[in-house]
Amino acid sequence: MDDDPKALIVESPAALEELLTEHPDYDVQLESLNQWQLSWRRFKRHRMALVGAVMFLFMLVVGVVGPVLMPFDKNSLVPLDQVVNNGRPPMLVPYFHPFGETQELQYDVLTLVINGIGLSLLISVLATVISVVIGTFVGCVAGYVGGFLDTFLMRIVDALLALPLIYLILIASRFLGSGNWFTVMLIFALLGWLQTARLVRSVMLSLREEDYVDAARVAGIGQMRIIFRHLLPNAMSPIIVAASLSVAGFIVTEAFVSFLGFGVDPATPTLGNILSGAQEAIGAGNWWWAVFPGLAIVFIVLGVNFMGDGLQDALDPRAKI
Amino acid sequence: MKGMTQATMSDNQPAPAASAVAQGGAPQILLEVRDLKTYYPIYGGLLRRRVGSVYAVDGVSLTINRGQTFGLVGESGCGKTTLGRTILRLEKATAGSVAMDGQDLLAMGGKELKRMRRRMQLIFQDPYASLNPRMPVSDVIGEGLLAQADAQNGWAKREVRDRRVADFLEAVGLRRDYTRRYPHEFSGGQRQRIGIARALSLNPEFVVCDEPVSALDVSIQSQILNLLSELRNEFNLTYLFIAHNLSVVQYFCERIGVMYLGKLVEVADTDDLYEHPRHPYSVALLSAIPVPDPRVRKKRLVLKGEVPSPANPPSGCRFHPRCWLRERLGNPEVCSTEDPALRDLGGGQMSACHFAEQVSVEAAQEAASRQSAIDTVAV
Amino acid sequence: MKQKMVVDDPVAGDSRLGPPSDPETLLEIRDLHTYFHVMDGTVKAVDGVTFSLKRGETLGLVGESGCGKSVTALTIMQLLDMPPGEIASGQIWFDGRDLLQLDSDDMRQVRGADIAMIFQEPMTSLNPVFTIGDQISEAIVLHQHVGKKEAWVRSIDALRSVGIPAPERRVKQYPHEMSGGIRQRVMIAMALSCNPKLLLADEPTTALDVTIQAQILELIKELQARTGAALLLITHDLAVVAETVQNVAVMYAGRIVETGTVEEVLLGPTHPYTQGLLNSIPALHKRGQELDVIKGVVPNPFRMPPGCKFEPRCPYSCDLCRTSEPELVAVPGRKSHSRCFLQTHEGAARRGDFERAAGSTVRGVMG
Repeated sequence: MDDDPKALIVESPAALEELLTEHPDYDVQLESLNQWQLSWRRFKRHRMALVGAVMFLFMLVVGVVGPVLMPFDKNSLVPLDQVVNNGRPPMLVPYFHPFGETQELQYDVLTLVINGIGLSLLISVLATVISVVIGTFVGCVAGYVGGFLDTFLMRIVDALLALPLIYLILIASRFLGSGNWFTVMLIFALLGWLQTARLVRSVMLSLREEDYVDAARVAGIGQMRIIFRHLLPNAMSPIIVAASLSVAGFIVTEAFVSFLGFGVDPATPTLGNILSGAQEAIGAGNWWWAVFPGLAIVFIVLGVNFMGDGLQDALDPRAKI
Repeated sequence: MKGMTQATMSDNQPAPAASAVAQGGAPQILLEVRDLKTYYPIYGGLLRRRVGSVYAVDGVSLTINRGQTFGLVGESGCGKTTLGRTILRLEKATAGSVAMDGQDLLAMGGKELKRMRRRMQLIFQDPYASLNPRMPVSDVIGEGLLAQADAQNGWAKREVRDRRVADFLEAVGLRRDYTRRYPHEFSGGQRQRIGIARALSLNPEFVVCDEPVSALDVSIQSQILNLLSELRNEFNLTYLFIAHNLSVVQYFCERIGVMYLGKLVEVADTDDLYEHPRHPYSVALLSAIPVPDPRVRKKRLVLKGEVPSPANPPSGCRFHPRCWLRERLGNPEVCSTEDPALRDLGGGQMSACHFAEQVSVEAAQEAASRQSAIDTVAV
Repeated sequence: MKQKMVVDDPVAGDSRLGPPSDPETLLEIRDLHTYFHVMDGTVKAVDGVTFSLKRGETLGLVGESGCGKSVTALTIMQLLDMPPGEIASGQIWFDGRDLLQLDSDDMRQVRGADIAMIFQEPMTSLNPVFTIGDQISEAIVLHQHVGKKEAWVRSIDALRSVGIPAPERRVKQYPHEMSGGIRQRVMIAMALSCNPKLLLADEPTTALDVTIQAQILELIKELQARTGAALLLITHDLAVVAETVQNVAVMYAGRIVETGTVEEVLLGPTHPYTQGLLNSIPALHKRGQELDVIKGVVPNPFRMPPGCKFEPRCPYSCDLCRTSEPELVAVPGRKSHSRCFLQTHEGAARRGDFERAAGSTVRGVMG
């Protein structure tokens, strides 16, 4: 760097100022940059986040493409000559059923799991997206506008939080049909936004006192633009973390709801109702029926959490390059 | 001014209504504040009723002339920041009036207020908090331009805005190609310059500087103060300079107002204030300033006790429980029963003390010599 | 390429071993180096600091942010997190013992009892969940080996000695119930409760209002005079130093660049940085006059200049300054030391310019 002053390139204006202090005669250039490249660089630094991203994306691909390649059809039964009473574990049937078979109905566990992943992810991601959107909107309004509106909205949130999940699913099932994945997803979304709203509201309450918000007000910038250009982007970090936890949370919630029988009908497999079906089988030694869906759940949850960590840092322009 | 074209500087600035530049004649009043009050309610109890108020600004009146640099000093809780913010309509005034160029600021709303905002801006104290970390410099400065765009100034067009942003970056001593950078890439001094560029890009006449150099190192302070002086001359600015560092205020401001617990206790031209302060609090404040000359071994006048809470100000004169002059005069009753008004003592010096004529530096020295920092009595 | 300079009278360097010869010397720091190992490299926060303090003496350590003054104090107290921090080399002689050679138990005995420290932010230095009585008593019980009841009584006395009114009531209060000034008094009371020989005050008044600052500085002065403790006052404010201490050491980029009595340093600075700091004081200029500015910014700790660390910003620099780092040398005829070639025979030619400019600073301060 000392050789050719004209070739000096620095990353930031602060570094440029330091360099010019020392060598006022140098011709220093600022490195040209792209914010997305920077974000990607930061994300790559987080090894766990990368691992998590790979895990999650892998599951997404499996969930989207898998059911197309290996569709689940409850009417497809294995031909009688291959019926086995108790189902067969993996490795005994290496090629056709790498995850083993279930008993009775003789479903291939691999097919079950793949389709289960697909549907569970669909429910969770969709519910997350809807609940985060609603929650962020409500939280923003309550937090920024404040006053009576804030109190009113938060009391509604408090009231709704008191409602038990299973009960609501039951009631909704009465009207929208039971065992329907859409119903379950909708209930999740309609209850999930509450936590996000609270979170976003508290973030808004602290953010709106920031100096740069005052600067925007003094310049005559309108409330809406302040919320969307100043407050929301700076609230993204906690929202993203909340969203990733939400996906993980819904996966698990769906699992237990379906496991208990209140969720999705086993005609369309989800990770939860597979586990439900596997209950008896475990007693009979068919461990593979429960283990693989369980592993899938763990895999998704871990992947999402690691990824959320990395995303939070990567999207923050303040983080060091 | 480096690289600023005449066109950009006078870029569609509407001629301020009814005011030509003073032609060496009588100074023109730009800002007139009358009996301004800003109270914050305190809620408490089971039913969250209003149980009291914080009297942050409690009846302040002052005038600032066009082109003047008016300093506002005082300690924590005195209300100087709240006063500045109330004038800019960032806080809701409870009573009183603020008139800029004859127009009542507090009565304005909607579009009129928005247009008025162009004429008054704010420079913040903390360069690390005053810029949105997620916006590039071009937006930090440009969004104000966009909000204030109209048919005359053409700021709605991106090229016009970008050019103006770059022009003002240059005006504050930064490079034009910094526009795409994010705030965290700049040093503290550079960030403060960006904040100044943001304030000035709208071509204001009146700028409130809220402790603009307090958060900066001494060697950067001088750079920024020089910049503010230069810009003041270049753009004909009127400053309301809020600070707690009295030596900076002495250097930078022509006229100073001293605040205590929500009220102005003294207003005077700077030299008058420093040579012959006429309020016991001003005397104590000036006495407290450390001087970088080790030969000056003055005995400091140390005020007793703490600043009372603005929610619960003392009766009568707010300063009376801590007043050395009152003690010296044998505790006259009027100090605790009647709140003195800010009155004119002649020569432009005003003081809110019943016994302003008896305030002198010598009397203070005498009171100081009989003090000990350890024997401060509770108030 | 560092050339070994022929120095007129170097301050005792790292070659000396053993405790200081003068029994009146309470604290002697020799060639201290404290480094921090961070992701981007190593920050040499303290890079060769040497100074000493006699019993009962007062010294001000002055510099802007990042110069290493706080780290020096924390190193004396050994309060730094050892990764990433590292005390790379040096000796800290306190009352005849090298603190850096003590094990942690012995150091704990010293801390609080012999050396006490008060910090800048009284809110965060006091534990919010304990009453102040508890916090002061804790130290007393530990160091003075008395029971809790007796310690409580001594705490009340300590509060009274720093001028806190109604100490019996205050002693049961929590930190959040008090204002900044009172909290700082509490900290001072805590620090002095065990009669330390040395008091370290790290920017004790920076976070306070100016009238409270005056109270606290007067208090520190009175207590120091009364107890006879030595005082190391760390601050960035030259005016505070002028009023409170007898001697000054100015720091820049982890090194001491000038020492001397407060009259010598503030009225006749021998280092361009000190002169620059004095010149930046607004009160010395007439209104409307442009302020003198130290051009440029503090060097990046990872990219320090090869020679004198102040050279890029110095109005009197020359080629020698760019290639070699000056040593701290004695200034003839005074008690001062200065880390600048201007004070050696190499810089004699340019000294005239500097003294003329420094002279006008003196006039400014006088006027």
